[in-house]
Amino acid sequence: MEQKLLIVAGVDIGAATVKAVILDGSKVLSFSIMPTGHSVTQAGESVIRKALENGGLSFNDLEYIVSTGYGRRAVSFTNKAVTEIICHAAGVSSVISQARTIIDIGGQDSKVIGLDDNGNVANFVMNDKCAAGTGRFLEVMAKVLDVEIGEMGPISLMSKDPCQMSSTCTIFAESEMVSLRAEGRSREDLLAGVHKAMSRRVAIMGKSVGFRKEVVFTGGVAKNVGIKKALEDEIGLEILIPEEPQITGALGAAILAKAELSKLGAR
Amino acid sequence: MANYYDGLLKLCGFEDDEIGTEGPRIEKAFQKLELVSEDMKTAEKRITKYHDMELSGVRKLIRAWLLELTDLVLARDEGKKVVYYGYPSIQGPGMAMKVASKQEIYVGCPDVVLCHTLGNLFGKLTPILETAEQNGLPPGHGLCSLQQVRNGGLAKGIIPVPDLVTGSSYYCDMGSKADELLQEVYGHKAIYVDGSMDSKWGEYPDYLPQRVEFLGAQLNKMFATVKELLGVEMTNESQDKAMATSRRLFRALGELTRLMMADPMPISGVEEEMALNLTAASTGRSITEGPDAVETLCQELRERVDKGVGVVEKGAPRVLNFANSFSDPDITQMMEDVGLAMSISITTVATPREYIDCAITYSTMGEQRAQRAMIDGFYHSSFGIAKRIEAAVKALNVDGVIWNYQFNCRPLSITSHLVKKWVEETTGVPTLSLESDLYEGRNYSAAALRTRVETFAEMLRARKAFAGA
Amino acid sequence: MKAMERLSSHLKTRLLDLRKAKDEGRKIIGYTPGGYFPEELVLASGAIPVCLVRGGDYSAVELAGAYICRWIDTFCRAQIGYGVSGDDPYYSIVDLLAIPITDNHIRAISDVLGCNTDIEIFPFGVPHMKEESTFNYYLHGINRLKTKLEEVTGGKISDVKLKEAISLCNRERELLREISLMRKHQAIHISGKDFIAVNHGSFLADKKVMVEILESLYKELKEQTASPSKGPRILLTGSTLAMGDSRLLDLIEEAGGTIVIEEFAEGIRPYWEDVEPNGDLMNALADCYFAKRVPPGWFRPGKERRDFLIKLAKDFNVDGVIWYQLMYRESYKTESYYFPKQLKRETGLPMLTVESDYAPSEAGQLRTRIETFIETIRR
Repeated sequence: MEQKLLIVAGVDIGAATVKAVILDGSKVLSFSIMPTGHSVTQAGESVIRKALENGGLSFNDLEYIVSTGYGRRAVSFTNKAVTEIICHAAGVSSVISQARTIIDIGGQDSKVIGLDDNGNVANFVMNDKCAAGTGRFLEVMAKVLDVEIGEMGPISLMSKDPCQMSSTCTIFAESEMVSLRAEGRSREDLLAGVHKAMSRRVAIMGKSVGFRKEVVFTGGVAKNVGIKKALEDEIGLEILIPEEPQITGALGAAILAKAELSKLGAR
Repeated sequence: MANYYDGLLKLCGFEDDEIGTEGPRIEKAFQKLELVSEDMKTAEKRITKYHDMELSGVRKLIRAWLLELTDLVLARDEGKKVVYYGYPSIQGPGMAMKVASKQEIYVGCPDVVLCHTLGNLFGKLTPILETAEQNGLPPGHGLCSLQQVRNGGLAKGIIPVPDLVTGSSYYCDMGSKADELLQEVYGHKAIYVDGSMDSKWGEYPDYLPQRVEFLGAQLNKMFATVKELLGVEMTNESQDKAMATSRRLFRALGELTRLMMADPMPISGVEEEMALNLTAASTGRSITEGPDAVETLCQELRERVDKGVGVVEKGAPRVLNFANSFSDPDITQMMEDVGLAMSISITTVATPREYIDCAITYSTMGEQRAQRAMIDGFYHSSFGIAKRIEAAVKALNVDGVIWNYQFNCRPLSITSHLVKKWVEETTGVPTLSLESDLYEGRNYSAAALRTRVETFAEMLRARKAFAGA
Repeated sequence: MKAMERLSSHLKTRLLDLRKAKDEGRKIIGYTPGGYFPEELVLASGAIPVCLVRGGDYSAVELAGAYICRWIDTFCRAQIGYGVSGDDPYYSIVDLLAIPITDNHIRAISDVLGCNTDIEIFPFGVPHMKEESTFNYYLHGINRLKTKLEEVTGGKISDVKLKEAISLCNRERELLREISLMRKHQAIHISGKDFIAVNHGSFLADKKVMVEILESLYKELKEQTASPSKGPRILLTGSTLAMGDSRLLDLIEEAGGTIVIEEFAEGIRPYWEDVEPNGDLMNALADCYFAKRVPPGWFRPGKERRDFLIKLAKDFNVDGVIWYQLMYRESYKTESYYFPKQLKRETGLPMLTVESDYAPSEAGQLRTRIETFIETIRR
């Protein structure tokens, strides 16, 4: 009898972006990332459809689907909902087995996750109440400084004298940035200050979990080289970034989908 | 002709003839509380959703709370003297006062009563909180929500202005300030019981005798003032009498907390919380209705345990949970939905058998209570709290601890990070430090807390599975 | 003013002096402010008292966020931040950190530093009411403190040395009073900000040097012509006025207000009463530091302080009251609700409440409120 390919999917429904990963065995067949927009349910359905399309598959090919993220319970086509902390741990451990700390900074929240030697979550702390320390903070600053979000990191690395940013609230940081800019500080110094402030918040939050190597950085903000460097300066450890840092949650969800399937198969 | 409250009362364990006799009185209370037929429907829905209504014991408990609410609201109209104490009360004086009094006297904790009835059953606590926010206790400052309920209740005229308020602030500063604020407005008397929280980190179980003598003297002063103001004498005799009347209730509660530890957990923490806090909030219905309600519940739970019936699955991670919400059962239910058996709370931890039997070396009533409080640990200091949780974790072999510290209670918020650190370092058991509001769920709702609690549940399950493998 | 300059340079080298003293074998005793710490005992033991009263800097508060949630008073979180940083010059130099346990916020400092650092902490309780049992408890506490200081320094605190220390501290208090009370007059000899700097300096400076400085300052001020106070006269009160937290003072003075008196534990309360060294000296200390002391906001009832504020407002002929509320100090917050009603009733004066969490971003809001208030009372 022909061995049927066990194709599973993980869907990460964040407040800012939705991600889907299609997994076949242990191979990532395809994935998709798109903005969430105003309808969490619709975005969830769209992203999995796109990921399937990218992999040349249809919905019926999927054996099991796990959803995660802020909107994990808002979609009806999934078999199980698992929190993003658990999923990020599973996703990161699958690509970097030595991972012991995960820093995840998404559009609207940030987390620090401590893993034990088996790759399971041992400790975690999260901020989902305050925009400072999330991608939102960077978005606001990008607008004020009139830069593309993608440029922020590289420009900040050119700074020799980062601004000291002291505002703890994104809203006030915006006005602080406006006045610093009016004072004539350079773009790279301003951006370096922004990155420093954000990393400091995350480092302080994560202190109760502790930073052990290997430290892995995930989430949309992980693509920002300036934050990576600022975080490394704060915690005094090198930081690793997976190839596709934004999809580790969805990847982890897919891996857990596979695990659920084997559990069912074992019965 | 049917009354608009018939459906609700029937649901909550009132017999038909009782609805006839108690109904009019309850209706009077509902009128004062501005509860109309729409509110009855909401309550029936909420109660059915959050409470285990197939159990007679649960119906009796809810009935007891509704009667306590009625007693509270109508106390002044019914010619009683009214005494309020603070929560948690330095256990006992309320009961002793009630028993010692020769006249009709309502002694209770009105804010806890309102949380469990207007909040838990009717889902209508918010208007009271919003009133308090306009009357001296604004939002955004981490002010005690329980004090807000008291303040709002008085401002809205739904609870009577008391003759006396006692015992607030023996370990915090907010209770006395909130009471003082109310005194400025309503002119009643208050007896502040002072305590000094000066034991250092690492000192528990040791303590200086002066701490006991000081708090003891303050309590004795309170008893003397109560005698002077109300003609009620609180002696060791009246205290013994009070203990005798409540012995049956405490035995039943002890049995309840033991049954909660069965696997699978036989009933939701929502019900256990209703039972435990009835005794904390009430000195009337807790004594008259409490014992039967809790004994009935225990009987029904014993049957469930024998059959292996529970509200979370067998083998679910067993968690020591600081306390459950007073007014928002949605939160406790969410925690059980994600698969946690929250079968131990600090109230169960706080009264271990050996402490009840331990040697009390002082002779005055006040000093005895004070000594008991110091030995207990939770009053002693932050370190005392951490040590007691450590001891409970080890003795009860729990899988995890949820330290859901009350964010706007300063003595507890001090421990936000300390307890987690201490418990994890001394026991290795995962501890979730969860900021929440046990009195009202507006800012710390089930939805807001879910991701953290759910992740914690997953963590514990993975640990259990790994240990079992 | 030469005295102010001398104080400024003395404070600049204070840490070096303390380190030198420590190398010579003297002990440094740190303590938290609140007004309940009898420095006399430390002086009599031969050790050096250092009040840990710095504030205003948000980065210290931010650091505390790794050890405690945000719902504790800003100033106390700042102390926690300094203490846990491991490299704060003051928290690193003290041999003992004595903490008079007043409300739960100060207790947070004791618990969190006790758990997370190696600093040796000595807490002793300050009750929240004035009665016989509370007086006795406080007296017992300072007797314990005395024993502890003797243990730390390895010497005895004799009555002779204690009397000397009382005399020195009384002199300092008397001078601070005299200088402060000069502001009762319509003509102002010293600005609020300057006086506060002097008062705060007294928490860190060498006591004998401080008394000398105060004596020459007093002389200088008497000799110079006072300038008439231009703007509205302000009584400044609130939860904590920390050393270095000068943003508020600048804003008030920039808006044209003149701070004529400050009612805080870091303001008037420490120098308002003297110790009467008759009979039992420990009793005398407890009498001054507890029984006679105007209590802070968490005292119950709070009537004594509120009445005192009214008296100050009248005696100093102020035009308005500004209440500086640090976040989450709940007892002060609640008092700030009904005190303005009493103030209005008894004096007709207006009150402005401003809040702070030491965040730099608040500057704009603070300025707007203060400027508006000063303008309205000017008319």
